[in-house]
Amino acid sequence: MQGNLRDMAIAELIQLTCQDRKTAQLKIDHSGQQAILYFMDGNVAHAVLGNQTGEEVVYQILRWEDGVFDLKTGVKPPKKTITRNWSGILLEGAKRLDENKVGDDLTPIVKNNHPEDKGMAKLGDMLSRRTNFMEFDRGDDQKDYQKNSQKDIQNYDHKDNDMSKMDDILKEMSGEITGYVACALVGLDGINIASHTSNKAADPDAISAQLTMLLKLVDATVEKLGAGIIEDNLTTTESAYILMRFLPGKQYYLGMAANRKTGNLGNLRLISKLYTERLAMAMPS
Amino acid sequence: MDELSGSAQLNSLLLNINSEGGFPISVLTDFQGLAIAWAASNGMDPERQSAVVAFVQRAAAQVSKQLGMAEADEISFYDTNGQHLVCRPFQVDTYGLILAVVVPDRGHSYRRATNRAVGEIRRIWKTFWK
Repeated sequence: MQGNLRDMAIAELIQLTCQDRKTAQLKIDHSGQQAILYFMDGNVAHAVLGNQTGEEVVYQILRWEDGVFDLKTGVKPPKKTITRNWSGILLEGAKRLDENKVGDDLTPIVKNNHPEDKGMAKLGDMLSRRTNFMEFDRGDDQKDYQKNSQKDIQNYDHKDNDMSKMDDILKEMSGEITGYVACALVGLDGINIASHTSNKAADPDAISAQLTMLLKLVDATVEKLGAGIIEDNLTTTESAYILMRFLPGKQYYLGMAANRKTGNLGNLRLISKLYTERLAMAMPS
Repeated sequence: MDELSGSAQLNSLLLNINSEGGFPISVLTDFQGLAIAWAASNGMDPERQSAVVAFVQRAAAQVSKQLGMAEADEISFYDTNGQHLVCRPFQVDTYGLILAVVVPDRGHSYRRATNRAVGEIRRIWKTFWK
């Protein structure tokens, strides 16, 4: 299989190859560099980039956004330099990208931008609307925007209304959750459509990107178990409940966190059910 | 009271019925046994009570089905001291809920308080979440 990283990110290639429990060789060419990953029975076994080998190579190439790849199945690794399982590598990769995050560095690892995927296209559209409109509001490059047609500006108005409607719903929902900490409406590429938090120190974008990876892993596992459709996914920690629930269509999910001591799991689940329905109805078509 | 959120109103309602009926604990739970709201005096464990109440409701539903009876309107569980657990399963929209209170002895009336609470829960639900 050959392709372009713009169509399929490296994280996805690793995920797909490993989930299918393949033994394979993946060559990736990017800006004059070539990395080679080897898979053995569904795990990353070896990686080479120039003089470097091992796990660090994977973390380095996860940030590559463009280039071409060539996946050959049945090619065995010449040696084994990686022992960590593939999901651990992807999570660690996400963490590192997050730590070094500048701008959109985290996006590639959770990117799922198949051009044919209408849900993703819709999300991309929504995000670009939001970005454009925020910039418009800030007054940056106003002259450029003034060149836009009246129709475009009207579109921005509609788009902004869509977003503020989501923000309003999340804000209202926050008042219904006992022990409320944070909530976000997130696309399956890990990018927030809207978010709301009482914790100013938290970075909702980074958190959402990582939770999305977790939810995708859980979804894949549940599918392999033949355990039906995920209703919600709960993580209980010493101090918090973190609940994720898909909106109908599984292109977006609602993530919410509540304080475990002051919160109430039944309340959290009930409110998540009620508000995913509302958010789904309010989503722009 | 209408300035409060729906969740806060439910908690407030349960506090009121505890006070009105002399109940040491009341919980509103879903059929999976997760408490949606509760009011409890010290030493009571609302999460455990919710789980048990859902179990009682499931057992009662089996009994009703086996005997060809309609769904239970109230399920009571008495101990030898007269303290009893009263469970009121009911539906709001598509959601199955159970209101459960512990009544300290046989001399306490509870039916009026639980009836009023079920009506209020339905009203709050419709106001905030329909």
